[in-house]
Amino acid sequence: MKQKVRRQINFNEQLRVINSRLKQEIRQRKKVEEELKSAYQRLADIIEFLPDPVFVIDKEKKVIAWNKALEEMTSVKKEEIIGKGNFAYAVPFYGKARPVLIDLIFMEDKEVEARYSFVRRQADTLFAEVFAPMVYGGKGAFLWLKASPLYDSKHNIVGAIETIRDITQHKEAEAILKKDKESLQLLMKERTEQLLKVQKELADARHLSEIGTLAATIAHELRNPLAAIRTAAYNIGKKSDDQRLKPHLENIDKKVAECDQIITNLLNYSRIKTPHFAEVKIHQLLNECIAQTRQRYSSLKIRLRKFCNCKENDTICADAVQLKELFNNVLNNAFEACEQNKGSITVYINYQPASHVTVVIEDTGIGIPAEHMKHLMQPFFTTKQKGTGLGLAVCQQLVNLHQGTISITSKVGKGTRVTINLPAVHDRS
Amino acid sequence: MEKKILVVDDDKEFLEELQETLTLSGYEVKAISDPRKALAVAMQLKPDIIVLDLKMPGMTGFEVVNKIKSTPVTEHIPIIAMSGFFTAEQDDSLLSFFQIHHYLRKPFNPLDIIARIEEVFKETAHKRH
Repeated sequence: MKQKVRRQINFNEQLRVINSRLKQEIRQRKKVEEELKSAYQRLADIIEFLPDPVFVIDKEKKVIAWNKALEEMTSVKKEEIIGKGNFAYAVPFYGKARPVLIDLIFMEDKEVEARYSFVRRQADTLFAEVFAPMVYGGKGAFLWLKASPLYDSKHNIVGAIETIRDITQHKEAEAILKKDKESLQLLMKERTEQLLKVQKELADARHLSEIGTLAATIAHELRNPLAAIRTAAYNIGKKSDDQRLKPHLENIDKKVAECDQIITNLLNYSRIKTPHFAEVKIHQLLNECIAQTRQRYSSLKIRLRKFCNCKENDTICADAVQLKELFNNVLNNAFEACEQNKGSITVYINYQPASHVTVVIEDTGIGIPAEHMKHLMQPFFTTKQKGTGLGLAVCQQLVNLHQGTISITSKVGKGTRVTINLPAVHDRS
Repeated sequence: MEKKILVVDDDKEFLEELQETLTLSGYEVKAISDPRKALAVAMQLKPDIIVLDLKMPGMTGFEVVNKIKSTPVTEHIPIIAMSGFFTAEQDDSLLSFFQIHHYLRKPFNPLDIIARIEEVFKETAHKRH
């Protein structure tokens, strides 16, 4: 009996110890639980009050965190979205439930990646930039996104977190900067072009004044002997009855006239003055030029046709002397482009009263090779054996002085077309 | 009676040839190459027409014109000017200021100068009637 009592006491004692231990353990567990709870709360608080918008999903892709900053950005409260899956988190950004950057943590998807301006990977974190049209009440914003996986202690992915930053202002500043840079580059390009143009004009002007002085000297010095040669040839013809001399004397006369034309071109180029504007009967003037050139090249037997919509007395405001020079030059070129008995020249005149006149002079001559086209208007550029290379340079200057335009199109073996546009009226002041 | 023409030009060969051309056309021609002598010769010769180069060393043709036009004995004589320098259109106003009747740019066709001379004679004959 005594022994039985002792066993009972021992058992009780053991029970008390176990009980006490259990109580202690429960207390400890409660404490750990509270600590865990408080740690979780602290974590939730950290996420909640992060200045950048953040959301977290679990491995089922259900939203488990949606912070205050994100509520402000998307106007979606956490109560409305926590626990939701099926890409519900995409709707406040893009208006549609579909995979977004955070989903790329779990799977690769080129189609999703393509929706972003770029997607960059660094270790297991993804960076991307996108325009989200639905945020800020539909105002939209440029966003910088960062998505990272969340792991458990055994390194299994248990979810993912995405942080978002509004970079609209930064983008705008960037755009302004880019625009500024572009306009600065444009301005620099324009200024450089202007500078080059002025430089060229200066060089041309210097060139021209030198040519001017030279031309004046040549004109006088050369025209006097030419006059003597021409008159001497005339006198020989008068004094001799020998018919065999005639073609030689004619050749002398022709060559003197050619020399004179070269001098005239040189002088005209260097002495082009401000036009003396007056009413000019354009049709009549062109007829005179045509008659003059026809006469000059009468031996070539080239057909010339004219189509004209203006009357004899229709006028434009221009310098008659300069216009004659202009049309004569172009007509001369047209005749010279045609071979003996071959080819034809067509002149079109389109007169628009009080507006402009367009004169097109077209030949079916030898044409101009493409590589020569850009040099045509340059002074002293010529392919003719006896040309000064000033004809078209003079034309260009004369057209410029009349605020008109001149353009040339040509095909080797087919012919050349020169189009001259001249305004019909000028402010004479 | 043959019409008298005074030609003034510093280019001797040209002067010689022009003199020949005009003589062949039936005029009595006096040719001089020194512009400074032009007035004195004109006063003495009393030509029907003076053909004058505008650009000569020593005295320009314009100075010669000025002297002739301001001398009573010679002021009525028509003048035909020549030069390789000016163009008729460019210097129209200048020429009319100096009372030059015609202008020929060298190297002109000799037939042109004959035509101009004839024109001037016709004009003066018309005036007399």
